[in-house]
Amino acid sequence: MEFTSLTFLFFIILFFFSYQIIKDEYKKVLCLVSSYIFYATWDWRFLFLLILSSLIDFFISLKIEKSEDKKFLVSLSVILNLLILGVFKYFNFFSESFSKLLTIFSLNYDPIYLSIILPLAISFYTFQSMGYTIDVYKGKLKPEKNFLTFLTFISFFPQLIAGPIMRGKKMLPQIESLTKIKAANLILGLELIIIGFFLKLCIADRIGIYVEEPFNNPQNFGGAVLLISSFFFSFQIYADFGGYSLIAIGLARVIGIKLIKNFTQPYFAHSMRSFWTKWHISLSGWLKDYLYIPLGGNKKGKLSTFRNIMIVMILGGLWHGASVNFIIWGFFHSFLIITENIIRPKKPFPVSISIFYVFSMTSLAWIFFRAKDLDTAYIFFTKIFSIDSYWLNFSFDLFNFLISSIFICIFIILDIFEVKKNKLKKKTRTFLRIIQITILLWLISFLGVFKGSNFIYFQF
Amino acid sequence: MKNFKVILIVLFLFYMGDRVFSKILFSSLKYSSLPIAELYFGKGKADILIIGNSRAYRHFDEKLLSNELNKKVRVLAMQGASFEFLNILIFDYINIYGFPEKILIEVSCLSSGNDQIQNNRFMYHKSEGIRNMLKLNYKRDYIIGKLSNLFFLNTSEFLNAFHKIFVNYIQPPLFGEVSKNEIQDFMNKKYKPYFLIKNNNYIKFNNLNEKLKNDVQIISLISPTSKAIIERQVEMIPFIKRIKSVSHQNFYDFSDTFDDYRFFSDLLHLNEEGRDAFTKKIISKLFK
Repeated sequence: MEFTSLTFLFFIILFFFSYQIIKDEYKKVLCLVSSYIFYATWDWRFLFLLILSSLIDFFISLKIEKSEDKKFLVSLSVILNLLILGVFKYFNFFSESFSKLLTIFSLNYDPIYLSIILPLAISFYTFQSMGYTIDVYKGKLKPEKNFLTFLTFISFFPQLIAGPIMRGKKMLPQIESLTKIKAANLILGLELIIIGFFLKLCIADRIGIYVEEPFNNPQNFGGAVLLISSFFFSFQIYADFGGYSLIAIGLARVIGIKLIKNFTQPYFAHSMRSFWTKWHISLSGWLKDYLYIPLGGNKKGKLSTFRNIMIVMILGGLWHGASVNFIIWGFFHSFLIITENIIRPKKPFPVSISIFYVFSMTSLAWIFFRAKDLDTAYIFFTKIFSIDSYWLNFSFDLFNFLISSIFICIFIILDIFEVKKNKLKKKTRTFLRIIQITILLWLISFLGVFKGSNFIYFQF
Repeated sequence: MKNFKVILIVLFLFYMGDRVFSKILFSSLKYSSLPIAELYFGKGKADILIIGNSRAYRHFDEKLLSNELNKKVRVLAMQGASFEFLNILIFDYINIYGFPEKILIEVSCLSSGNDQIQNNRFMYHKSEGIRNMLKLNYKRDYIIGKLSNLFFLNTSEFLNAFHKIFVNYIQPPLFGEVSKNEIQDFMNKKYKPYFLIKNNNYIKFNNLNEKLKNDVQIISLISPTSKAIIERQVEMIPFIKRIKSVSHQNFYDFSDTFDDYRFFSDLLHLNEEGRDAFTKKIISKLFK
């Protein structure tokens, strides 16, 4: 059930309506049942996996509280969660990589392949579930005793498919205290949902046409087009994932649940390091708290810090998918962050140059992320950096290209407004918000792409 | 209460703006040079109308025909257009301009579905036929469009028409030649019949021939298809037979006009060279 589908519209109206009329003590049950129905509409078989993952962490975390050997239990949870991820997401990749590795040593091994499809949202809910158990182990959180609350926390449908990855400490108390929909929450929620839909339907899906073809057949395009399409992909993935996150946050907000912000204007970052505090915040925060800091963070000298950054970024890349491209994407980011740490100019660069640098570097990195294999990425880079007479061959339809470019400008203006709006007087802010939402509604209606395409991050 | 006031204000502004902007945008199409816009805004009068799907759109050179025949020729064809939809355009044309001298129908459109109606829904305001067909085939779009008129304009064909306000419309030819691999692939894979008449199209085609037989000369034809298609298709004979039965002897089969693949951009469509050669053939065969 796509967020952009009519079925979801009926589903969500029915959900909000039922939520409003039933007693408070049943609201949690409604959330859980709706979440499972929502997930089952994608593929009901994987519902069992979602429940299994929830069961593991619910019971292990309860045991941790009373057990002497907490370390063993938390390790067990991590191993079981990683095992689920490993089997369903990474088995074929590692099997093939192992086979390739052996051929280096002239050994033959036919890789074993499992014919299973990737369960939707597996990376998101296993990380959320695992993070909860680690928090209980560290004593940051008391284990949840209410089974229903815990199941709802793991499967809460607005953020189940692609995050934001929530922490138990923030989420569990909110699920415990669900009450009737408040007008203020409804308005804020709807506002976020509308902005999210605008990002998805008018920006991500509209500029997607300038990304799809060049990334599928880069050999047919000149360097300039490939460079533009890599810049466009930067906006597409931000609009797509940012749009999804806003819809998720908005849906939750309607019933009073506050999810964390997943993006805070990442392309306005002045450095690669700050980019990662603004991009996919829930995942980068997770990796920082549960991987980077336990590895030693930046407390054990420069070399150890660099090693930790590299491990975290590479694993962060691998989290997205079982492919060498994602590993290189992660490595490329770690290289940029480490380089920034080593080369620190005495006088900081002007803001505009820093922003341009970060945007350009992330756009180049996205090539690895988006390309279907390394060969495609290689063609991209060679064509972009080898300037010849074909380089400027511009094969896009100018009119549609212009519309897409205008949308990107609107996108940037929206981000600037987001930064500046808190400095405005309340009346001015309310006025501008009304104007903003009305204009976005017109644009969605007039230029939204209603073809029901998937959100990019749903595949992870 | 204050919060609900905000919702009401947004809804009110949305509704007002939606109506005003959609009206302005739609009205601007009177300056567009796209054939469908010219048809509905009083600039589409022609002596000869050519109707069909992409095979008509790509196979007849409107400019060459007009120059050679010294008559105004208009290719009112669209990619994927069904005859049922084109039939609406013909009757709307007659309602606005009266009868043309001739109507040429490239009959491949009898095998097309009604998808193009969705793309041309922006003419909802101007055409009762489009309105009814939309209501019948795309109820969801119709309802959403009623709520937001801007949604009626949310189609690539509207953008195309809007674009043609600023850039003059030129009937675009196809370039390149069909590749050997493409032919080989086609010959190897299971044949998917192309010339299968859809019943709705056939009924409308029949009606049109009956209704207009005394007022307009209706010429039906099949434009050239590649040798590969001719060799493999089995449905063409009954297809032609059915069309002939309602065409009052005005049916011409040009499907095997070109043996040479150099005239084809793909297996079903002529390239620029093929289009020119075919247009000349039409002129000599049908008009001289």
